[in-house]
Amino acid sequence: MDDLKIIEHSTLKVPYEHLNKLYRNVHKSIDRDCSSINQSMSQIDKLAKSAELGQKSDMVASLGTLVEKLHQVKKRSIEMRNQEKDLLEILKKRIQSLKEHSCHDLVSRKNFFKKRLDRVLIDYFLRNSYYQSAEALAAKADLKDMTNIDVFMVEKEICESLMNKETQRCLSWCSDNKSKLKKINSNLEFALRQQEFIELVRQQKCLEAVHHARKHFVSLNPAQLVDVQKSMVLLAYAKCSESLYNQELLSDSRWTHLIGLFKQENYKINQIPEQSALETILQSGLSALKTPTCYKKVTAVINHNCPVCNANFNQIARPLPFAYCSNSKLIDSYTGEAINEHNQPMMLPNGYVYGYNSLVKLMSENDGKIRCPRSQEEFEFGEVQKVFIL
Amino acid sequence: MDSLVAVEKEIDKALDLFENFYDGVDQDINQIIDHLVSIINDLTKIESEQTYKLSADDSISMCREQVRELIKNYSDKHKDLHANISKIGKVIDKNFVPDYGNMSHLNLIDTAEKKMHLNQAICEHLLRSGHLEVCDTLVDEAGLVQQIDEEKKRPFIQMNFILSKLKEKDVYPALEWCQMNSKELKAIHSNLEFKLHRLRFIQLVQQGPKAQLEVLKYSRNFTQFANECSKEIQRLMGSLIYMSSGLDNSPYSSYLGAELWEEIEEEFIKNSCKLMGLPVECPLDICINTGCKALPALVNIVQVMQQTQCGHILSKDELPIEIEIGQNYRFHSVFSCPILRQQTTDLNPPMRLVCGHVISKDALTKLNNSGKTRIKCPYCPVEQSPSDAKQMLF
Repeated sequence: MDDLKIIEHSTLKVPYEHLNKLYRNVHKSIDRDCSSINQSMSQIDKLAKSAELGQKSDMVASLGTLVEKLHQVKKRSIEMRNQEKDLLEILKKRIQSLKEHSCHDLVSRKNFFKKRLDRVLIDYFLRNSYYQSAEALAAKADLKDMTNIDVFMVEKEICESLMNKETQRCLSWCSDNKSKLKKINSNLEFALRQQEFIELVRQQKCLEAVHHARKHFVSLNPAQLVDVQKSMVLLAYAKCSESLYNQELLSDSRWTHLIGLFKQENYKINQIPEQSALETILQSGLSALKTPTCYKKVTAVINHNCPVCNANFNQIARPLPFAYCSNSKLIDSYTGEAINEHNQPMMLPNGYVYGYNSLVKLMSENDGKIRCPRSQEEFEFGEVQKVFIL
Repeated sequence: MDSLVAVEKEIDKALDLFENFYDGVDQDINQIIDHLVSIINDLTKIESEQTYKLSADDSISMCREQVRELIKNYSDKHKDLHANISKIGKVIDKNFVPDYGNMSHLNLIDTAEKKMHLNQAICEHLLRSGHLEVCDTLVDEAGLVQQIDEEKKRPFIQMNFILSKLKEKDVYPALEWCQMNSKELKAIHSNLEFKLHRLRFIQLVQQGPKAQLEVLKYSRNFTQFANECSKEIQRLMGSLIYMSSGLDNSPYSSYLGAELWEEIEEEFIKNSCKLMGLPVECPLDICINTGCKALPALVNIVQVMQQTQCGHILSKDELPIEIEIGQNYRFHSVFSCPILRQQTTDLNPPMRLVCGHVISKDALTKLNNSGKTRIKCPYCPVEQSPSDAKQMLF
């Protein structure tokens, strides 16, 4: 298994779902065109059967309409062809770009890593509603076709309308994606209708509320039925706004909940993972880098190249597990070199350990004596002891 | 790679089929239109009832056939394309795993403070990689005006200017920067300046014999590096031999690659970050690169553990497996006790036995459990008193 396989599913699956949806819409449109042509044809048929010279002008006109229609059908088919082709090309482009992952030359591979990070960031921005940042980075790094900005831009508009307590946009989104929402047993449309009901009661339009309920609360599942019953009580309590029961139903937080629910369904039907790639990758990266030293469980020289010691990541990584390390991995605190069989560990009488290479360097810098960089004590080479690490 | 090729194959197939389909439709429609237009022309000319009857019936029945054919083809053949479309989806699902292979999740960014930290780290990354305007936008949108102020941005503005010039293969701004910071660069043993001169020198040599005098004059810049880089300078001066024949087919062709420029950009970033007191490599970069490397192994183990129901791998003290992160990304010494297989801490430090073998203090205490005054090293025959062991610090 490689990292492409785990991280890039949505990079390909999202445009695929897009393509699939477009394909279905195109097919519907083709069927519409066909039946419209059929209609004209049967009209012409009728005229041909009677075939009276007096109806000649009608006939010519009908034929003219058909020609006109066919021109339109042709025009539409070219548009649809381009739409379907564009999406296929986007998929192809994404594949091409992902291929750089296993390129042999280092420059392209580095380029891939850089672009991947930018893509992951754009996804994170979009999920956190930093839309302008997402667009700016996508434009700067030329990644518009590589990221799923469009899906999020639709989401943005609907979320904004929900924030303004309007249900219309979200409902039409629901009907656009009806079959998919049904497949995942979505409760979204019901929740929206329920909210509409609550809003009607809030405005004291009880009669309208009852009509609304009759129209939309049909074929409910048991859980929904309980919800409906709860909401219907509002009709009885409509006038006493301070009752606790009402406060729960009339609370504005229901709208925030709706926004959350909508986002969740939007991710699901577009095959976007619920968790951002940034957080998923970050948690495994930080864990793999996390050592007891980063949390001062071991006294050591500060290494500010370590990301986990970095002020920003230190807190974020706190709840994560430490990296597992079955064999000791030692680093010379003075030079940063690895301590191993080529650079053997040596202990000064004060207990500090350095690699052999460091000691040679320290001696050359200080007239043959070793001045411990940490304690500043001076030692002779003869006092140094070998250490065996297993 | 194979997985990408598999998906690409299906896409190419679909592209072909779509192209064919629409070409066919286009042709059919054109034919019918032509036919209809000629019928209209014919009909308008006809004046007698008799001929009209005949001709209308005739031509219309032919036309009807054509239209029926078109409608059938248009809708049915488009329907046939669906098999291909859904195949693409299936191949994607077969070769890539959704939801990061059900990797366990921790709600990593669960407080506003952590979110601010993450956004700050992203801003620093954007500054380092030259996306200054994007950083400004994010500062705005994420409300980080206090954390990322002008003071913080200023050094990056200069750094990015020099980088953009390096991208245009202009070394002078970078050289100027080196001269301004020569003392500090010397202190960190940087040879950035020499490498910049080397690139410029090769650029001049490439211009051919007409630049000969300039090359000679430029070579004097190397005198300041005579001690440290004499070998390399000798080698460089040798390139003058190939000035007229060109360096492309000479032993010096390795100096012409794009990698050297790539390398110098990285080296410049490292040097200037070091001087600014920043980590040499961007922390976010390191985390993401390591994370991408670690993910496949972790996902594997999650899948295995799901069968044995060992629970959430991120809720433990340690990851269940070792992730090879490479020497460059090892920032701290980790001593793992060979007896207890535990990483040592200040509470349980590594101890050097008299014979030189190192074990953790806890292990030493356990060896001494029976209260004997002397113990034997677990790895060699030496006997010693536990109190002779010496605490070590890496």
